[in-house]
Amino acid sequence: MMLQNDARVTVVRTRGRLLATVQSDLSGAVLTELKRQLLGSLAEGDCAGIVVDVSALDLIDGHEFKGLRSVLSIAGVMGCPAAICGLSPGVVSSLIDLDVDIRRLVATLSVDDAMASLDHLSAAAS
Amino acid sequence: MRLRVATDADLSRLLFLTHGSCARVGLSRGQTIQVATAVSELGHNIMKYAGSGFIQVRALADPVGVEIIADDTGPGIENCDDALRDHFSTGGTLGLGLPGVRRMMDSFEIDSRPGVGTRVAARKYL
Amino acid sequence: MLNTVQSDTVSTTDARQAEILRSRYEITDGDLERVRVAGTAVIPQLSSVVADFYVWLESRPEFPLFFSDPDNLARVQGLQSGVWMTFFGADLSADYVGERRRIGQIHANIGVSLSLYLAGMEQWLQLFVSRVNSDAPGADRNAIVAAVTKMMYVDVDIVINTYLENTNAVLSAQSDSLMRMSTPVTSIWDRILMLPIVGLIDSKRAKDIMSSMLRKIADTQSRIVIVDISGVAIVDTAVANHLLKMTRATRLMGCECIISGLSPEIAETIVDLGIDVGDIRTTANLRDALKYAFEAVGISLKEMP
Repeated sequence: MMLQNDARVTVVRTRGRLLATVQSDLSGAVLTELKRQLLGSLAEGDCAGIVVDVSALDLIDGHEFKGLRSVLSIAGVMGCPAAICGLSPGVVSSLIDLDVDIRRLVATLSVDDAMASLDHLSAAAS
Repeated sequence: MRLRVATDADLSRLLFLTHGSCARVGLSRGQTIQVATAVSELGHNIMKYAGSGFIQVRALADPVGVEIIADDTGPGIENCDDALRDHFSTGGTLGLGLPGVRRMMDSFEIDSRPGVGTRVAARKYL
Repeated sequence: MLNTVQSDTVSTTDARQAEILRSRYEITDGDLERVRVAGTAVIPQLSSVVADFYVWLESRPEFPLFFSDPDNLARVQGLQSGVWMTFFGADLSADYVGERRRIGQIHANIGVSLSLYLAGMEQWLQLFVSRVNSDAPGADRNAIVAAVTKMMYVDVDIVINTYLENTNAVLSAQSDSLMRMSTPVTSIWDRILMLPIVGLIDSKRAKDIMSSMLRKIADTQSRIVIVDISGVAIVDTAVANHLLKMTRATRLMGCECIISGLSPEIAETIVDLGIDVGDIRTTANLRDALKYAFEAVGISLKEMP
């Protein structure tokens, strides 16, 4: 079931979780939109997890990555585990060269793997 | 043999010769690895901070062992005491590795003057 | 390999090199002035000095290799006059260093051996000294000869360094191609990759390994990559950094990197260097790494009856 549609960010509720797909980039405007859609849904309660799919992105700079991390951290503070999926080799290489902070970040290649990771996290937490 | 160290190829060649010197002197595998690691560490420092420099590895007779002398005309170290303390770094992740080199070798001397250069002498005895 | 483009960084290095050479050979302004004075004695006779040099050079076995062509010979002799006129101008600047480097590069490129070059320089020096002794102002002769000698050392220093850099560049290119022949990342089971590393890891190689590893992870959707370093001769802080970067990168692709093959000796140097292995999973041998990997992807191994 599609919740909201914006050319830049699409959020879908699936398997009890929110799947946000970023289409274009992680600019300030996109991050704001992401926050609005995701965190807004979280505020209404009943969310077992968030997955942000960035597989459409060829490029993520350090600043954008930090922004994305902070959205996930906010979700975490609101009690919702989160994962990123779809970081490509090229994007990963640059982020590593930039020495970004990846502590406590759950990252996977595919959406399925991300969902599975969130299952593990929920199981561990309970 | 006092070899110029400016590129990775220089260092590779030097390490090869170092293994030879250690074998001739009769050092154990473990001791050889320590000497070679020290040479590699000092060589990387030279390349990183001074661009190029020289490393000499020679056999000692009385007592039997191997001596490494690394010198460069690079920026020098402001404060050797700081540099010899663990986890002190001005230029990157794991610091100059000097405390490590000192731990691995049996004797260690460093003479460094800012603006002039640095000289490290270290020995490993059989 | 032959760098003919004069960039800003190159001239800064040349300027710095000029400073270093000045202090290394203790060349004073007085020395430079004396070299110019020597020039007043030598330059008027330069063509005969050059002719004398070639009498010597012809006696060398290598001579036919370089000068079988008389036009070539005439051209080179002309160039050499120019080189020595600059020498006696005694201007130890960045430009001078740059020009000497290019000369050294040319000698190296056409295959003049270092020993031939050095023998030649000794010959030039002898010829200059004899001219100075017969024709320069009497009072100062010894000091003039000393100054000219020092400046010759400067030229030799620059050319030797150029030769060394040349050799290094060749070796570097060779070792590059050797390293590119390294082992590919192999899929050893569904979602388990393995990469044995042998020899020395430098930054170029680490970069190559990283990119092929990440590509393979994406292609195979692997969950575990085992990097076996039992064949790695040395782990110093630089190598440890490369390995650390690998484990971080694979994590971002949902893949755990296990470093296997840590011998007691290597483990000891890692501890001595103060490197904190942290959360990185490490094993002493490949077997332990495989065991963990299979468990992690949900496979259990049973012995057959």
